[in-house]
Amino acid sequence: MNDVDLIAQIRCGNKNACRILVENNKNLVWHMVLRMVNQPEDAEDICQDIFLSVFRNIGNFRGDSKLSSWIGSIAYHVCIDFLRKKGKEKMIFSGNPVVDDKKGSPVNMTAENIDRSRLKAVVHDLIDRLPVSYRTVITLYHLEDCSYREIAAITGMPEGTVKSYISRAREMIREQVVRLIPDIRPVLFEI
Amino acid sequence: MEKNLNAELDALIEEALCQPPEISVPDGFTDRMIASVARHFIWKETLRDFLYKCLIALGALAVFSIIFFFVAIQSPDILVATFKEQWKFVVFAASIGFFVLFTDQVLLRYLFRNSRSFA
Repeated sequence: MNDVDLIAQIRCGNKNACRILVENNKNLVWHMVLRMVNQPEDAEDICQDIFLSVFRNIGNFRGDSKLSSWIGSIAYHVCIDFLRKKGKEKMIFSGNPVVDDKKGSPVNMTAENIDRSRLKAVVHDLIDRLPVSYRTVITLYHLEDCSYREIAAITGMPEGTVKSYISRAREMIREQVVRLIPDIRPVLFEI
Repeated sequence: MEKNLNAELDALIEEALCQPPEISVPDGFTDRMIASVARHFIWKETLRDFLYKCLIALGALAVFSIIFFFVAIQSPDILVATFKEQWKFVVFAASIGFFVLFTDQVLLRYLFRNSRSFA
């Protein structure tokens, strides 16, 4: 069923069509909410608000973009509103040290005490510390395989800004990894 | 050599970025979303049904009034005088009817649904 048929069915009150829409887009919405809001305990309530908003405004979908992009843009705005209300809309990279999940203390990372999988965890931690716009674009690009155009449609940013945010986000992560683990060469090359 | 290191680091970052978050979509997520959306739209539907019922009741009243007017056309003064005398009773009866319909069709359904969702 294509987007137009699906929307027509939803407008007719077909419950199965509603289910298909949620099923097709739940990963996109869930990943966006988790990465943007970073609070798993609030994630489901926010998803509920997003889908409620989607069904309430389904009549306004004009078909200019893909349905998933339109749902993504609703998710983006709901998350931004949530962060604004909570005053957590970070605009700068947080310079806090990466903390050990178990001990809650800064990790003393050297090539000797870190392996490749731990390094990935560090990268994830650094992603969570990026400003929300950067987090969003890299999540959509890498995790959801969205094109620059789709990300631009979701976030309302120009395509050029999306490209520069993606490369800047990667650069920030790379800089932080090198700063945290200066002797990273043995870890990467598994010497 | 430095270029090689950056390329390897980029590959690792790319790998980490492509990994989904640790917490995956919870079980029954779709069912809960559909249920919450349905709850919202049932409330809207209930109000719309109530409005339709009110319109039907008003229409029936209008038809009845027209018939009554033509039946009692010979003595319209008596009809107007009777209404003037009894208008308080008519307004009272209409208010009671409206209140009963509203309570039965909207208020009780709303309270019943809320009590079920809190249970």
